[in-house]
Amino acid sequence: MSQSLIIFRSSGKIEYQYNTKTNPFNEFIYTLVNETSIELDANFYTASLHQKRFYCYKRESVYAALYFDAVTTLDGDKVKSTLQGILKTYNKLHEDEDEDVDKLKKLVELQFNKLMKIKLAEPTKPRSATPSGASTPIRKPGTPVPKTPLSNKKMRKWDGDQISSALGNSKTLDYSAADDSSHAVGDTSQYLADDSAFVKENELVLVNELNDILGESDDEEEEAETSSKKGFLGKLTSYFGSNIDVNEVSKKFQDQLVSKNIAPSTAKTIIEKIQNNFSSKKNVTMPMYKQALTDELTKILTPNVSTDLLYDIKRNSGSSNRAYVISVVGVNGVGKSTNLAKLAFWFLQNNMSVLICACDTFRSGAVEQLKVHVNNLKNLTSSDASSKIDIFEKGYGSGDHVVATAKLAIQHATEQQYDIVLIDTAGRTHSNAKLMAPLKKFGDAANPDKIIMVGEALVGTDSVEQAINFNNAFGNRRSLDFFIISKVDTVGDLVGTMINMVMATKVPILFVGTGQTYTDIKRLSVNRVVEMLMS
Amino acid sequence: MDFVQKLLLTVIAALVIALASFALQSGQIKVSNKNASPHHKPSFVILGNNGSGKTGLYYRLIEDSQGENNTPITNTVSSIEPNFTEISLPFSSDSISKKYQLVDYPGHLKYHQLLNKLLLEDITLGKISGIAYVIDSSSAQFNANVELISKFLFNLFSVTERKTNGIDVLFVVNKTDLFDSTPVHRIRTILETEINKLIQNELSTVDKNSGIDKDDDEEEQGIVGHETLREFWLGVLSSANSKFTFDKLEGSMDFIGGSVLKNKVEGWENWIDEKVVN
Ligand SMILES: Nc1nc2c(ncn2[C@@H]2O[C@H](COP(=O)(O)OP(=O)(O)OP(=O)(O)O)[C@@H](O)[C@H]2O)c(=O)[nH]1
Ligand SMILES: [Mg+2]
Repeated sequence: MSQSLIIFRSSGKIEYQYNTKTNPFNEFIYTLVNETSIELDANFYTASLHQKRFYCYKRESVYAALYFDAVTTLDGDKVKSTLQGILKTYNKLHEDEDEDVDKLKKLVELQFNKLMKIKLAEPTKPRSATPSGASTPIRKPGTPVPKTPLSNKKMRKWDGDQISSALGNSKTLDYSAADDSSHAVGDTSQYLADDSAFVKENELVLVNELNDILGESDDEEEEAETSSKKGFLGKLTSYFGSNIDVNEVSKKFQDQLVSKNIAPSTAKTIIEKIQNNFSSKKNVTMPMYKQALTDELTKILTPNVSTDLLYDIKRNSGSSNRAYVISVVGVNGVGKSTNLAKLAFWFLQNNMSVLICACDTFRSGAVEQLKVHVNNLKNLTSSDASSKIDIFEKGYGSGDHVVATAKLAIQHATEQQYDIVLIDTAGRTHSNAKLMAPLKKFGDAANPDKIIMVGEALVGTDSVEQAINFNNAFGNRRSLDFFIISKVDTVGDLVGTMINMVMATKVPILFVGTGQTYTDIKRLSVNRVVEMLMS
Repeated sequence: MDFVQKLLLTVIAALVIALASFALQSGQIKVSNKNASPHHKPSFVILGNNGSGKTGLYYRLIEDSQGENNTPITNTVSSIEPNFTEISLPFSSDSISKKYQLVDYPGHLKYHQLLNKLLLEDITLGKISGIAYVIDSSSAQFNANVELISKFLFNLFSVTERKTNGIDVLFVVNKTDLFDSTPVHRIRTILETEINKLIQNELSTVDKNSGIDKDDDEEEQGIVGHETLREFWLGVLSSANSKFTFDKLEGSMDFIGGSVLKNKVEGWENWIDEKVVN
């Protein structure tokens, strides 16, 4: 059985560790950084990785995190209140002049072991129990969060022979038993022991001490109250670049983000994070706030994967015996074929050979349209270079025809030593399950090295729903690799769609389309987009 | 709001505007916050991949600068935020004592864009006395990460070499205590080969018309008139068909092995001391 608990700082320093198993936490922290973990509640995160379930609760720059085997489940609220209690214990003891490490250890272990004991032995949903591969399926942001079952808040008893490792003989140390109604966020009263009479003398001291700590009122909430009570004078001084009313400024910037076409709920999430980070700080100035927001937007747009596509392809050509397969997906009319041709032009310019595969075998004229592009590109390509381009098509048809065509194209490209196969797929309405279902089959069969979605920057489109649905279309184990955002030239500085799409899917944007010609494609300039959003 | 309050507000607002414009004109309020960054001071910056041992080194250096030797390694997990602190250098002497900012910047790709900003706009190149680039030398990790490391360095040098005479880089070849640790000289040559590949790749993008190859990144960094990545690397190699080696860079490049875990850090601290004293 594998389980562990640590208290650590955002600096990376571990302040407390339950056992030596701290390494697994690194990967969990990566999900926090990349924001691919699920935020169950304010400052409370979870993720499932490598058959382990992680939870973490954060307060200011200190985090309490734990994991246990994913075959068991725990009520999320219980985990949260335990982690809150543990953090509170740490903060309390840490404040003390002569920090008592041994006491901290005991008090934290008391709470952790208590939680581990109530682990339900019931197996979780099959998705995390799939046997193949070490990693659990890629979580798709935007899909409904699997909610852990709410356990009843009744006092739990357990067999006396299930002995806690740290305290040896802890019996019914159930200080979490409380009245059924009160489990509001931050409510710690449910920890108060009502069965201390059962507890052995030496533990009683410990439990009482813990109850004292947990029972103390939380200065976090009190602070929040006073800070919002800044009056007119506070506002006045803000004009001079000194302290600002964080709440008021937050509102202003939230409106600004929305005015740039960021979805209201997304803008709220972003602003709340900033607000949250500032909540404990006094003397927040306008430049500080702006900087924090700029940094946050920059982080959101910065890809968390290597983005050097050419390099990847070149390496593939040198090592793999299959051509590098890229497929392009998206709804009708977003500029799929155009952007595919732009990519092809870029590859050709870099001395690569490209086979374009026409897998839009539904819409009449789609194949011919691609042929036009290929002919244009042929004319633009000098014949002496190692670059070449051609089209692979097997006419129109439905059902398995798409998959068959793709497979034949890849085979052909590999035999003819093409570097890249670029597969154009049929545009489809993302909300039509019947049309989306074949994508999974296609993805499994063609197994593309990269799946690219083309989405529009236009105001008033449902780009986000498109992004989510396409991202989910390839099943649990596969997601989109990146976006090309088209028609960016038409939206001015209303570039909020990009933030919406990236936040909803955690899929990075690599390129933006800026016009009709083959050269009108650019790498995403994160700084420039952020500048537009902030201006 | 009643009338009196409104009146009061208007009066105060007018006063504020008057005061503010006066202050602006007389230059009492800095309009641009140029160099207002709290990080704008002489610095040593620790960089490197996730898990290479930067934060371990960071705390080790802090302790050593305070004369607390032989403490065990600080237990760490991956850093979520960069670390900044002030330390007194050199390590070897208490009589001379200069204050330096020590920076530990996490390895997450998500933070790369912000790193450029930190180096160029906050600390600024002129204030960077040296960069410690930490490498996990265990074969498993080094082989898995060599591509990421070379790409990072490929971009980093194009920034650090903008400073006259470049910025000196110490390659902290860490974890030499591990049985599969790659020898220091091999790490150096492997990186040279890999970076050379990247340069050749960059140099081959002459006359590329695709918008993707027309990188206007420098422009957005606010460094007007700065050469492109291609021009920069061409300048380093001096001719397109010569091969990249670290000594072709302006800044000095030193590879030194050691182990944060086993407290084998003298080589690295001596390097830092040298930069401080000179
Ligand atoms: N064997 C060995 N392990 C080390 C050594 N130095 C550091 N480590 C371990 O390497 C792991 C990662 O070290 P960190 O300092 O947290 O890594 P980092 O570079 O700060 O990583 P990020 O914060 O993710 O960028 C820790 O478990 C360290 O204990 C060393 O010299 N030898
Ligand atoms: Mg670190």
